[in-house]
Amino acid sequence: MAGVSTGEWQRRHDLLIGWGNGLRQDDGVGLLIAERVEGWSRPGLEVLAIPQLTPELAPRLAEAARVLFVDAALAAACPDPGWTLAQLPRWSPGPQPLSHHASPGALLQLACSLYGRTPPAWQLLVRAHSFELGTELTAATAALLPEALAAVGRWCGDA
Amino acid sequence: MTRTILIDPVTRIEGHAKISIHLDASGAVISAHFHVGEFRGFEAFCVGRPFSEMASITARICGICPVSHLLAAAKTGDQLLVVTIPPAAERLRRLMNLAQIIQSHALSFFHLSSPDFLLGWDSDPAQRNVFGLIAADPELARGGIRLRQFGQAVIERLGGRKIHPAWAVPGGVRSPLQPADRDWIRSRLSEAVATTRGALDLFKRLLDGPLVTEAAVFGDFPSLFMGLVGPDGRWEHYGGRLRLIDSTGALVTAELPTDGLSAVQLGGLLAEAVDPSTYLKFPYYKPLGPEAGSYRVGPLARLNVCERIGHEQADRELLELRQRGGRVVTSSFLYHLARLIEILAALEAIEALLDDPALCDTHVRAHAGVNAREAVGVSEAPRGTLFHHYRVDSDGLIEAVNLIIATGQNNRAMNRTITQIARQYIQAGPAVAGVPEIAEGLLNRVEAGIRCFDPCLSCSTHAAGQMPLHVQLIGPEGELLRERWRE
Repeated sequence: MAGVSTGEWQRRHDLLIGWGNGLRQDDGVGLLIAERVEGWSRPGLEVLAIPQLTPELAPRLAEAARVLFVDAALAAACPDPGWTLAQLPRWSPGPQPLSHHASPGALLQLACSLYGRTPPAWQLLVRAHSFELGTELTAATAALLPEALAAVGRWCGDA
Repeated sequence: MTRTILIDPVTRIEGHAKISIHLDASGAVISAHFHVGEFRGFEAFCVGRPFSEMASITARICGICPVSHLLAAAKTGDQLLVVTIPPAAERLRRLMNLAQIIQSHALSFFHLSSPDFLLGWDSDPAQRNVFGLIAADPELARGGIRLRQFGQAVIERLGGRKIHPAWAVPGGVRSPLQPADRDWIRSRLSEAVATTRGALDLFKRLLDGPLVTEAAVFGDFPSLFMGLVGPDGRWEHYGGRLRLIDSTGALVTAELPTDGLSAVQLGGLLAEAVDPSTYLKFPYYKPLGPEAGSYRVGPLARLNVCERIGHEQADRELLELRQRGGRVVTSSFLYHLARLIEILAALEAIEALLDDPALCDTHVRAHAGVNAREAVGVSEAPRGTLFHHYRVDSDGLIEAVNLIIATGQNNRAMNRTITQIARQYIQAGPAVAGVPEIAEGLLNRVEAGIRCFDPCLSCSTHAAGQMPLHVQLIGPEGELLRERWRE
């Protein structure tokens, strides 16, 4: 991946990955945000709505200009106002757990180890209030959606 | 007094589980058990839904093998409609299932299990993972990723980009295969075959050398084996007949056709035992009872029950497997080799399907209303035979669901495997205060016994009603020292 020309770099796209389980109430908030953002049809932004982060995403990460992971989180990881968008370290210390699914840190490590490139990456976490069986978000998590989507818009470059 | 050693969590498997190893007063292993503490309860969630939604709902049960549930649900729906699906639809479903087998087996072998084989059982656990593998053999690691990418890409081209494609539906599939996608799949086959052949050659060399002991003591015991077979007993993954054999290769019962398999037939064949220490049920062959009727499913079982695979390269590998392990291979460690052979078989089967002019036909769905109130759908998931059983009302709303999952069917075999490994390695260790000192590498071997079966707990943990987790500590005289229930 080293030695990429400026033109080639500019052709790289941003990648948004929302993941979770749509049958577990607020665990599906990452999927929902991804589906909403996909509806924006923004040029240069590829959107994935998937149940788990899987190792074969690593080459797609390595090819992306920037990556935004979107997931649900417990309150401890998501203080007020109930969502957080932060840049991830390019290299997490120590090997990250990886099986049929992976964490953002493990995928970034995998992209770097196998393909020699880690894109700058961010993570948007939205507070989940219930992981019980159900296809609808709780009202409390649903109320966080407008702000979370606005944060994604700013990440994408909206004023 | 008895002692219990816990390995918690078991690493490099799907889901959270623990293993308990029970020792007697002398430190000898009495038994080992695999416990699953996750409760999913998806079957109750499905009640009241239209049966036509079951494919998309059950595909979301598991992010690991959604295609397997998708196909089993669609096949159950076919039976409720009482339709014969168009020939192209069956071919396309087969194509998707083959791609699923490839991507799932690739990850199990290349990234979850090969760190043990290539880096060593006793190597630094901080390095004994895919990142250590990348450092030791980056080409193998990249090849595994590419192979998995290929399988996922075939699934995406058939069903759309998302991992949970609601593409297979009762009566067929939603959309045909485009010739451009067929040609793309064909263009990637030779690389995938080369990667698989390289892994096969590597693993067979290891089996003849540093892994010879593991092949002998990682769950080598007689049991029943169950899987699907096609015409003339050929390897099968989608339809055909259900075959159950014993370790001599003899049929245990008459084969059952999967098309039209009735709930009564399934109920006569299988029963499910429960144990309060785990959410994972114990299906067994009903006429022989829970112990003698326990059986194994999955890649090794499929290769054991078939007469031949029906594809040239894979058949040569099957012959070698049988030269190595006998007509019916009983070593659970050889599940890994079976996985690689099945990847090769799947790639050859895909090549044959691509040559079939009917593959791109545009008539891919039959339409009908509800014509039956109860049905069973069967297909082979990467980990083994998968059963969906639905009962619906006259409007097609689900009244009852039961899913019999591969990991559950291998439950007793997993316990026997880790007991055998624990007895071999833990007794051999030095003792401190009458209890064997347990080196990390020994515990890793016990965990690896579970990984032979590549268990996936996402969909396999369910129970009839509420089943709390019950943990007991039993003293040498059988007295209850401590117990704890988790709701």
